[in-house]
Amino acid sequence: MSDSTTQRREVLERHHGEMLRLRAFEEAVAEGHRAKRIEGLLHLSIGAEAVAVGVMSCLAPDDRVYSAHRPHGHFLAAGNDPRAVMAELAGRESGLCRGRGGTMHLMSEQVVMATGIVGGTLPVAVGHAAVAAPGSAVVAFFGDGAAQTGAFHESMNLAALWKTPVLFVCENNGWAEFSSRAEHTTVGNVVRYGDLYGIPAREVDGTDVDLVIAAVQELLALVRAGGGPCLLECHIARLRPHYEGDWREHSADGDPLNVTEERLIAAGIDPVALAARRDAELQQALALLESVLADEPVANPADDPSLVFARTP
Amino acid sequence: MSSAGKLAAPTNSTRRVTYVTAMYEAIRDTMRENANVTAIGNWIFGLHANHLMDALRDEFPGRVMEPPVAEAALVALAVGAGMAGAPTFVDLATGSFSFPAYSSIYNEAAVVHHLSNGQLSAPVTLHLMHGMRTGGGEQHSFSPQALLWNCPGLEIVIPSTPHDAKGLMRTALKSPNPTIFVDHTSLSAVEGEVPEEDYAIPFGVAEIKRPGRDLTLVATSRQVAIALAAADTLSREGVEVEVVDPRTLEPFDEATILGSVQRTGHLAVLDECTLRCGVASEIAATVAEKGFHHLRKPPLRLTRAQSPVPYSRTLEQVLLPDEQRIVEALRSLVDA
Repeated sequence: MSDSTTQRREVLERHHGEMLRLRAFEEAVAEGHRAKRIEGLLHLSIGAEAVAVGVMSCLAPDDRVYSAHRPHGHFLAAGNDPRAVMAELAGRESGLCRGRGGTMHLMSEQVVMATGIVGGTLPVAVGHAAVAAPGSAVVAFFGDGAAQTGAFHESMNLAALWKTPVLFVCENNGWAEFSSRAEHTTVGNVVRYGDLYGIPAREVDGTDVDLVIAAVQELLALVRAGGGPCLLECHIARLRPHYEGDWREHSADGDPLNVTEERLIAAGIDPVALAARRDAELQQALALLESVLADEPVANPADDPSLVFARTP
Repeated sequence: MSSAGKLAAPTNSTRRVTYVTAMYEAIRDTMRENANVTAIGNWIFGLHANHLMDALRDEFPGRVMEPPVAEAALVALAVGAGMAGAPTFVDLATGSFSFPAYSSIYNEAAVVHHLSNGQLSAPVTLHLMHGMRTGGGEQHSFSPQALLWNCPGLEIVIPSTPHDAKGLMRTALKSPNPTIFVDHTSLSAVEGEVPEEDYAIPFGVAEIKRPGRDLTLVATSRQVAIALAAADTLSREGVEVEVVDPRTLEPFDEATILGSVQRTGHLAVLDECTLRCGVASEIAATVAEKGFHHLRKPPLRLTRAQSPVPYSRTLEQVLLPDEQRIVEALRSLVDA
C-alpha cells in the first residue's frame, strides 16, 4: 500500500474515531433523556457527524462557528471537553455555562453560541464576521428549515452585500420540525440560493466526510481571501425525530458511520474491530453520563450572582 | 441620590443645541474614542437631520453603514459584532419598527450574557423614536418601551432634554449590555443647554426637574415638558408639583420617586405608552406596593388611551391627555 494511501486511511480512521465519539455521546444523552435524567427539549445531531467533523477539521484557531439547535456535535468536534458538555446538558455547575444555557445555549470560545430560534444565529454570525480579523472565517450552521425564515434571507443578503467572511453551512436533512421540505417550500435545494444572492455555492453528500472536507476547503479558501460569503449544502439524513421523545417520522438510511466504515473495510480494516470500537465508545459515553449525573453538583440558585447584566468595566 | 434642582443653567462651557445634535456629539465622541464602534442606519438622527449623518460619515468613513430594511438581522448582526469586540449602534428609526426585530432583541441580545454564564455580552445600542407624531397612524406611532422594560436583560434610557440625551447616549454606547435609547420625533428639534465637553450620565439616576411639596408627577420623554407646563399652571393656584424624570427605566431609580412620594403624599405618572402594562402602570404599582403608607390618594396614571392611533390630527389628539386635562386631573388628585 502506498504512503499516501496509508496516510489517507489513517486520516479517515481518525475522522471515523471522532465521528464515533460524537455518535456515542449523543446515544448516551438519548439514554439519559429516556431515563428522565436529562431534561428539556433535546435535539440530537445523530446523522450529522460527518458534517461536524469535516467542517471543524478545516478550521483555524481564529475561526469562529455559530451553531443552531442541534449543537452537541459541533461543540464536541471543535474540541470541547465532553464532560463539560454533558454537565451543561445535566444542568451542573461544571457545565460550559454552569447550567444556565443547557442543550440549546451552549457556548465556547470557537463555537460561540447555539440557539433555539430557527435562523436566529445566522445574522449574529454575519455581524461577527463583519468585524473578524482578515483571513479568518465564521461558519454559520443552519438546517434546511431555516432557509424559509426571514432571518436567512436578511443574512444572506447582508453578507453578500457587505462581503462578510461567512461560510453558510446548511445541514439539509429534508425535515423542518415535523414536516418535510417538500411541504414547506417551492424551492428545491438550498444551494440554489447561492445563485440568487450571487455567492459561490456547493452541495455535497453530507454523509461522506471526505466529500465534506473537500468542499469546505474549497469554499473556505474563497471566504478567507475576502471575496465574500459562500454557501455549502450538506445532504444528511435525520436518523432521529425532531426532538427526543417525539413519535413522528425520521429516516432509517444515510448513516455517515456506515459510509465511513465501508470505506475503511475496503481499505483493509477488520469489521469486527470497527464494531468493537463502536461498542467501546458507547460504553465510555454511558460511563461519562453516569459519572456526571452522580458526581457533578447541580447548579445552585443560592450561589447565583445575577447574570442579567454585564458590569460596566 | 438624584440631583435635585432646576434644569442645567447656562455656564461658560454650555451652549444651546438641539436634542439631535446632542445625540450626535455623544456618538461622535464615542466613535473618536474607540475605533471599533460602528453605526448602522439610514436616518440615525431622524428624517431631517441629514447634515449630521453626513458629518458622521465624513469623519468616520467605512464605520457608518447604510443598510437595507432588515431590522431583525441588523439587531442580531450588532449582537454578533458586539460579541466580537465592536460595539454597534443600530437605528431602528420608528418604535413601531422594533417589532420585526423582537426575536433578535429578546432571544439574542437580551439573553446572551445570561445563557453564557456571563462569558458573552452584547454591547449594542438600539435607537428608536417612540410615540405619536401627527399623522403617523397605526404603524408609526407606537411606544414600545413598556414591552422592552418587561424583558430582563435590556437597559432602557429615555432622556427628555438635550443635556440628558448627550450624557445618556454616551453611557449607552459604552455599556457592555444591550441598551435601548428611546427618542421621540417631537424631541429632535428641542433646544437646551448642553456642555461642549464630553460627559456621561449614569444609569439609574432620576432627576427632579422641578421640586414641589404637594404632588409627585413622574413624567417621561416628551411628556416631561408638558408636565413642567402643567406644574407652572398649578403653581399659580398654589399647588406645587414635583416633576420627576426617571431618565432611565432600566436601571430604575425607585428611591428618588419613593422619596418624593414620601414628601408629597400624592403620585401621578404621565407616560405615552398605552395604559395596559404600560410604564405608568409599572411605576404606579411599584409606588403602591412600596410607598403605600405615604399615599393619601390612589396613584393616578395619565397615559395614551388603549387604542391604535388614528391618522387624522383631530382624532389623534384625543388619545393623550393634553396640558389642560392633565391640570384638571392633578387638581382633582390634590383636592381634599
